[in-house]
Amino acid sequence: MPLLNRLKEYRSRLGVNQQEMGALVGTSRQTISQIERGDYSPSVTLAIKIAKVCGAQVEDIFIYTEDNEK
Amino acid sequence: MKAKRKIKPVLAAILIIGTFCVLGFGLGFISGYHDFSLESIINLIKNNILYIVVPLFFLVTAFQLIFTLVAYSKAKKIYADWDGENEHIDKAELIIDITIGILSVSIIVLTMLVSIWAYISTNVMTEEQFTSTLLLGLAIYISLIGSAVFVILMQRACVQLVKRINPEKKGEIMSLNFDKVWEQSLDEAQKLTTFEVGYRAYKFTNKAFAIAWFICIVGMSYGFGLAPVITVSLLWLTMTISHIVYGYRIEHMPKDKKGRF
Repeated sequence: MPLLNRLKEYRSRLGVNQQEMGALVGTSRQTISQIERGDYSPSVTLAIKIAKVCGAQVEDIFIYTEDNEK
Repeated sequence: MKAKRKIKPVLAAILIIGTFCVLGFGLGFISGYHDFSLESIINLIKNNILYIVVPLFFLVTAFQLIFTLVAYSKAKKIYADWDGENEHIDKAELIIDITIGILSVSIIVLTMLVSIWAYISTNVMTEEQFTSTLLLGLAIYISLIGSAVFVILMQRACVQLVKRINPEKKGEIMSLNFDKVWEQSLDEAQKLTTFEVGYRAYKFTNKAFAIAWFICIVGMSYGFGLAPVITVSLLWLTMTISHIVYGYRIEHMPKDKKGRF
């Protein structure tokens, strides 16, 4: 089940577009777009890379609540 | 909402039963009205199919040409106007996916139509029709070769456009190891999508093979011969065995650091 996330917000703060974000974390623009839309939950590795690039913790960007499973 | 969910299966069941009632009535009416045997149907199709196949061939060729050129131009324009930020580019990628799909399907349909035409026309052709059939055959085969070349060039153009939109994608479509290189350039989300698509296609094709095999078995009683049932069986077997082998390798065999067997 996809996680709620604030990736778009953090990406705006960094001042990069989706393609540039993808290049920074080693993934594609499509995947960044899918994550932001909530259509895809990244792997642990990718989530950690994203958090590192954004200068934040994984939990700050990706939000898991019990409601996600419903 | 719950009531709607309960009504839907009931409506679907009524629709299916109703459709079969209408079909059954229609077939029963026709069988009483005409000489309705399988042999008569086959003869009816054989004598008239050329009137359908030939126009259909040129119609599909024209559709393939016009649709893919218009769609590709639209996708290219969306890419040219893309500022690198907005998600309109997703529409361009969708258009390219549809275009590649249409190209693949149309060439298969065209080769099937040509095969039907070639088989039927050589069986029903009279001496007087030899020259006209030959000229038509030339036109059809030249169109088919032209279509095949067009498909290759358009698919290459579409892949090149996808690579411009997504620079991390690698692979040259004319190369023999294109599939391998392309797969290696996919990221985790794209691999997941690709593999899910493959599995769903496998499940659907499995059912399609079962139906085709049944038709071929029944057809043996009506002069289809052995070739269809053997061909379908071999293809079904190839798909099933490859699924088993790859399933075993992926689940049980150790991989190196790069994830290869």
